[in-house]
Amino acid sequence: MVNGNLGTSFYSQSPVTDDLLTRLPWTLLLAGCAFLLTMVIGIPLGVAAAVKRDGIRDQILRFFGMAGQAMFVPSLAVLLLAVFALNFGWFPIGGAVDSFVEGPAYLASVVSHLALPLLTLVFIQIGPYALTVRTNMLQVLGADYVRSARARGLSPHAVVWNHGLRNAMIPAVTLMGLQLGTLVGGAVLTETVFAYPGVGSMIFEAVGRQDFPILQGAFILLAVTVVFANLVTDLVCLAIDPKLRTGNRA
Amino acid sequence: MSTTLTPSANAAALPARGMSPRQRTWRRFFDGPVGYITTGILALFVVVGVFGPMVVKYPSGLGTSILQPPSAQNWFGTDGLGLDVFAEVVWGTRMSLLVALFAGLIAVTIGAFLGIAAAYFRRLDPIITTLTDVMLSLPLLPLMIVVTAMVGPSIVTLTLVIGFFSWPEICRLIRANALVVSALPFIDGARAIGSSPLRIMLKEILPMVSPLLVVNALLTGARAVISEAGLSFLGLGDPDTWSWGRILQSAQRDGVLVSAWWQTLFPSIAILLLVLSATIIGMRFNDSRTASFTGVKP
Amino acid sequence: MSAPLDPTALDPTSITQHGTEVVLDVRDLAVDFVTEMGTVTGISGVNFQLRRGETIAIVGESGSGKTTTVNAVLGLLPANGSVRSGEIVFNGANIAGATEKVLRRIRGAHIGFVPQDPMSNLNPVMRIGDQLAEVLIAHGAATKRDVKAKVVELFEQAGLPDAASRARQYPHEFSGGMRQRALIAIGLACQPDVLIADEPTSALDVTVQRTILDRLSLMTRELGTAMILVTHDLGLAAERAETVIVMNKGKIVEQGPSQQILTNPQHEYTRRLVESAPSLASARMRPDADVLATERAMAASPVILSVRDLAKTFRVRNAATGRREEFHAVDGVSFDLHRGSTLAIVGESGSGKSTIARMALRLEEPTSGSIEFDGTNIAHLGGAKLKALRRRVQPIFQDPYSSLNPMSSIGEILEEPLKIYGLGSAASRREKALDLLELVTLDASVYDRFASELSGGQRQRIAIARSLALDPQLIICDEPVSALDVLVQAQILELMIRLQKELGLSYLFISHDLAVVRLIADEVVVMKAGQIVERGSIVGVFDDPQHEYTRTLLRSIPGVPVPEPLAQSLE
Repeated sequence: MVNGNLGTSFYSQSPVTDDLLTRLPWTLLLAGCAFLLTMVIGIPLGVAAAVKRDGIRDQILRFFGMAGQAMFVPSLAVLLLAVFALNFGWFPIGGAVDSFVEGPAYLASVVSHLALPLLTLVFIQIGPYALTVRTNMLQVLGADYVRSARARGLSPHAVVWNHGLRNAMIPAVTLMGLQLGTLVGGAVLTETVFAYPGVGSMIFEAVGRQDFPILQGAFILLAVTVVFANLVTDLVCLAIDPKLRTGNRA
Repeated sequence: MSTTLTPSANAAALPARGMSPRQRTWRRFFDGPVGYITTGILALFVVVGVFGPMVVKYPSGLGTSILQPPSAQNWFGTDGLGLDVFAEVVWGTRMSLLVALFAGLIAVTIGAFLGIAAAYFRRLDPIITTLTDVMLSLPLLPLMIVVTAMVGPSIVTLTLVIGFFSWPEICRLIRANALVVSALPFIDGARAIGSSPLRIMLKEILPMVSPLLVVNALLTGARAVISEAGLSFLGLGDPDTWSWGRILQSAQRDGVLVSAWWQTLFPSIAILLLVLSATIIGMRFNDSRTASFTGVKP
Repeated sequence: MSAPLDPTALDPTSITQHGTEVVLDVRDLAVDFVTEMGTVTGISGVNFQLRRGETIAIVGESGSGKTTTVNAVLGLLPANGSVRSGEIVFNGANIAGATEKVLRRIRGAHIGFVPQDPMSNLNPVMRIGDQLAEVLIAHGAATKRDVKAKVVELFEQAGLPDAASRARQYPHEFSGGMRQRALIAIGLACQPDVLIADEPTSALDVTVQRTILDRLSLMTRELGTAMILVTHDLGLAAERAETVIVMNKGKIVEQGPSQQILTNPQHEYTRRLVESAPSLASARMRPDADVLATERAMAASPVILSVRDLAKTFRVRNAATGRREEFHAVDGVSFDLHRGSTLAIVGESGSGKSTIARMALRLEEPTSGSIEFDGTNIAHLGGAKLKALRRRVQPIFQDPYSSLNPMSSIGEILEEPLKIYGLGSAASRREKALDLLELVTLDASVYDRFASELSGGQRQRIAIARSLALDPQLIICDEPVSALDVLVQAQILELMIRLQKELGLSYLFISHDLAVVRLIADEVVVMKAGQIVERGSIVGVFDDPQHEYTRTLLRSIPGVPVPEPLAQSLE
């Protein structure tokens, strides 16, 4: 196992590693985009909700936060599929890309096939994430040093950005690292519904065929990816948080 | 020094006897419709789960009309085998509640025990924390899939697997809280009085974290419903019992997830309502109790 | 350290040049807070004036309204607070209820602020120099080109050594005193007309407090800045300010020249403060025949706690070098505590005094040395013997808010020790609990209440009552009054002294506050960095301190005359 040999698939009789590696890029694309998009949209959303203690905005965010945790991924996937793919016909029904296309058309095809699965994943993740960012931000904004910054007559912009956000970012990044596990799990379900040819739907097929080597191999692959991604987020935190870098010297 | 005080002077400083902290929590919880609505929904599910299967027949075999939309005879329509979807949802309720209850209990018991132990016994802390971190960083659903597939799907397997993989999250939370509690002087005071470690863990630390436990048991149970639905959807559910995930799974296998929309919609609504209500109750209870112990400052 | 401090420059009454121009005029100010229980009045009828270059002090206990007053002046009331009526006239214009835009131009530039807690008031992820720089730039006191030089200059004025390299560091790399200097530099950066200092030294070590206050006085005098000093310590207020305003329960009860307030207080509350506040009360104590006689009697009584060569070493990771090192928290300490008397251990944080207390309670085991309680060495006792020991040695801790289990009723808290040792029946335990309440002069109705319903002073009485439940002989008190308001401190100390007489208790009293110690202790031991630097009777140490460190500690009590060493100094 250590030297890359994960066994042979019961079904296809080819090495598990090969089968996995052909399907891995699609999962990376889907999960990777979902990861980035969640952070890129979630952080500003959470920050805005914390800064503007607007009753309505707060309530909406709280609701989406809870709905995201309560949502069953296939249900949402099917809903989006039914409405946007079948009903409006804006997006294709399944798969990752159309066959026999090249160049810019290839790119466009990838994007249009990616849209709905991506939307499903992001929709589920973003509510809870933005909510936690909001909670962190609120905590930070209530801190003494933020109040002191205001007492020095700094502009609200400087207070929120330099003093508030820079501190709230650290737990926000750490949190996203923790969410990776759930993201991957969601990807498994999403790929299944959309017949997206990644490692996730491969797991679904393997379960049906009782192809254990594939199952084990897929799990190991996903676990390694998640651990690796966590390492990356830890490094990012190290870069942002001076306390970790310089240690506590009085 | 010449300040003199009488007992009555001290007692006069006490505010009028108000409600106990617990009473205040409940009053805040039910202040407004949300508390009632969510509790009502949860109660409804419990009623359906307990009594429903006594009233509705277990769907099995083959029905007469396949894939029929909702009608007077079949409120939720029929599936690919002609079976009544409404009956499937009712029987699925019992399954979901059972899994949620027991998986939640397992997760909470293990998680709380390990969390408090890690907080109180410094030597155990690194071991437990490392274990928790490792388990938390693994993708849970794929892990559950692999284990269930190898052991063989059944309701017991599902409950054990979900419960066992849910304890790290609770452990981390309880540990964080128990650490704060353990550092408080009254724990030192208990040690100085001569309390044994077990007594301290059970009588001093556990009550302090128990509201957190209740809330998280609820949230874990809610997540267990989703995990179970997910596993069943992927074909790892118990083939002998109906569950909401299994309804969706049969629709997926028949390729009618979208066309036979009733098969997808009703279980989905059930999942959403149950989980959302439980989550809201948990969060609302948490919010209601946090103002309880601020106390009177001079 | 930079420019030497000229003692005459610090005496408030020697200043003859004062602008008579009124810089800040607070008229009939009232602030309300909206709480769960309705609208509550924070302060009302607050009237005072601040002249250019003057220093005034606002003195009060917690809840007196002193912090609310200065928050209102800065326009930084919490979200549920608002100015109900009155005016805050600053440089001729009323700023009460002014817009955020107007206030922003005033804050920092015209009204500076030095907060209480230096650790939590600096942005942990921003370099200290940058935090000062942004204030300078925001108010136009420096441009991007010259801001670096100005930052170094200001830090040097505040007394920060190595200002240039320190400016590039982060807050957690500074000590408490250095952080406060940085905050002072930031507060005075734009040479404001008024500086508000909210308990600027309460979060600092005692030996650092005086130097910080001196620096603050020096800088404000040089810049001609008027200062409002908020403090709970009347002695400190009188020493540092020309005018003292005393507040209680949201109102000003008395204001006037500081010496007058001290020598001739008019209002009853002020009189109580002057009489019983430990720092003032202890400054007035003089040895008399009574005390000396007690001393001799006590020295003759048997020893109940005897500590010899006690040491405790911890293995910690040195954050700078990353290596595990040995930290000697307690390093060869010996002392005797006589039955029925009070021995105080005095020191700052890190001196090891708390560790000694924990070892005496056997919450920690000593690394070496012996602790003899009533003849038995308890240093490595275990099991049933340890449990039996615990009955006779009981603790009282510092924080009344966290030393009582908030989920138990008072009755349960008091009966817990009895339950653990299986003493008596439910009925007899209840009776004992009620007896204990009476002993600490609390009403029996407290039995059914919860800790959250009681005030700090009442909770500490419960803590004392609980410590007496098992009829102990020795009570280890770790900063038992430090978290309490000044007047409450006096009450609790009085209670403890009375109980000692009635029950023949022995106290091991840990504190950083020499003033408090003066009021209760018979003997004192001064600790620094794990070692004893001085010991003796309380009278002896106060009247004739031998060690320089003891003298520094004494100097931090405002108004206490510190005898300087004789001409033949020890080199």
